[in-house]
Amino acid sequence: MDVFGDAFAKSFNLIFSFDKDLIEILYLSAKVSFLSLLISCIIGFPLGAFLAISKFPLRNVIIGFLNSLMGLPPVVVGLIVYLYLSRSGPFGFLGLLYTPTAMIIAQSILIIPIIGSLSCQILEDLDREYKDLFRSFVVKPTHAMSAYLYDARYSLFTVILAGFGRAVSEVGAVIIVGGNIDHLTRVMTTAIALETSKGELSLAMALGIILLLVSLSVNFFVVWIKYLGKAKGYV
Amino acid sequence: MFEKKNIIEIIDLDLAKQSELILRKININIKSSGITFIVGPNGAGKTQLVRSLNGLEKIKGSVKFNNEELSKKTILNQSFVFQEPILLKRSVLENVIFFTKYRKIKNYIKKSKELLKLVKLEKFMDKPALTLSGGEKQRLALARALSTTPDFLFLDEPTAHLDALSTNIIEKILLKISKNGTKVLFISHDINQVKRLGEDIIFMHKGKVQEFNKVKSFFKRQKSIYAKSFVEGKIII
Repeated sequence: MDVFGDAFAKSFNLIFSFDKDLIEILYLSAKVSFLSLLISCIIGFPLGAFLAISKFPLRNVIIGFLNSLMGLPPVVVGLIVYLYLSRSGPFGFLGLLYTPTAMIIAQSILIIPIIGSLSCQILEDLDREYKDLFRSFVVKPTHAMSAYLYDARYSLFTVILAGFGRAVSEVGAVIIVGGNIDHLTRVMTTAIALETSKGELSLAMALGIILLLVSLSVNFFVVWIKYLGKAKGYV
Repeated sequence: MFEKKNIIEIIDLDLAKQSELILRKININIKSSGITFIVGPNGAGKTQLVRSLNGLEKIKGSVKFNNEELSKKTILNQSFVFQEPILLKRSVLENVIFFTKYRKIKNYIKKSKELLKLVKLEKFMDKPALTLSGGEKQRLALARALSTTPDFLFLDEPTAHLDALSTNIIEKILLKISKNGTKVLFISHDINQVKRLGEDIIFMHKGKVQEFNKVKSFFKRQKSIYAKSFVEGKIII
């Protein structure tokens, strides 16, 4: 119980003292998570919409493949990105290894299948509803795709939440490609892993509590948005 | 009285689904203005026929609209009001605007508002479409269908389960637009409605057109035993 009590006290102390290191870690965590989430949404939503409304021979195979990519092991992704970005790798000349950009790339690779696959499922349901109407009005697929994404916006927030959950809790890939370098690539999860390995359980717990609070706040925000959509009659 | 004539020519139309023949050798030439009703027992193929005309089904045979073969171009001159209204998860006004804007109709916002006024939904413009009542939803679907000023309008039991007010609003609009030249094909089970509004009637049974006649002639004397049984309210097997 001492560890928990100590951790709570320490976390509150860290939060309310606006600890510079903690704010730096929080800022980088937020930056990496949100940017990778943004990139994943930009790629994943149109991909999901395209797969939901298109009919072509290998469509089901691609959807199945995308679904299986949702369970990609982060360390494997981290390793692959590492190999590509390392000096001897094809993109080594870019000098991205051990930078936040490398972490964003790795996280995006992990989140794109989640956004793509889950949005595809939601938009497939909408397609069953809208298909005849859009065909009857001869609406072009690209226009239909954007309409689907707009009309499913409240449901798609849950997809964003799933992607954010993956991004904010991810440690395996970012520690490989980021290296957990202090003041450069240290994020919440890698800091927790480091503090735990050092035996600094109180600090690790404090960071964990903050991570949980961030995660819960985002969850509540999404639940509130969905509730808003239902209350307005758009869901 | 009628401004123009829109003609539908159906030649040897067959429709098969899961190796079952749903529509068999349909041959009709609909030249009349006004409202053509399609009637028949459940499973006769009425919905499948209008879906085929609207390009929603893969058919065999030929369908011509004003001598032009069924294509994306001819579908652009058509509208379909489905039995269960398909509404976008948006406001009432946005449901119309989406299509008027997409079709690049001049003053699309003004036109959309006018259409909502026509179907007496102007008070609900900003309301989410999904919160409308059944009758209001169907009126919205009709307003949207009219937004593109179609030459051909297909309606699949649009007034089934609607109250008298909504039915009356829809019927008045259909009479008006058919007088203005839009060819209306209307699926209905309501014999009185057919008598009230119909110019001619297509009676279908088991995927075939059993009769195609003027409404008055049809109700005077039915040529087929199925049509006779249907009019008399008997069960048709």
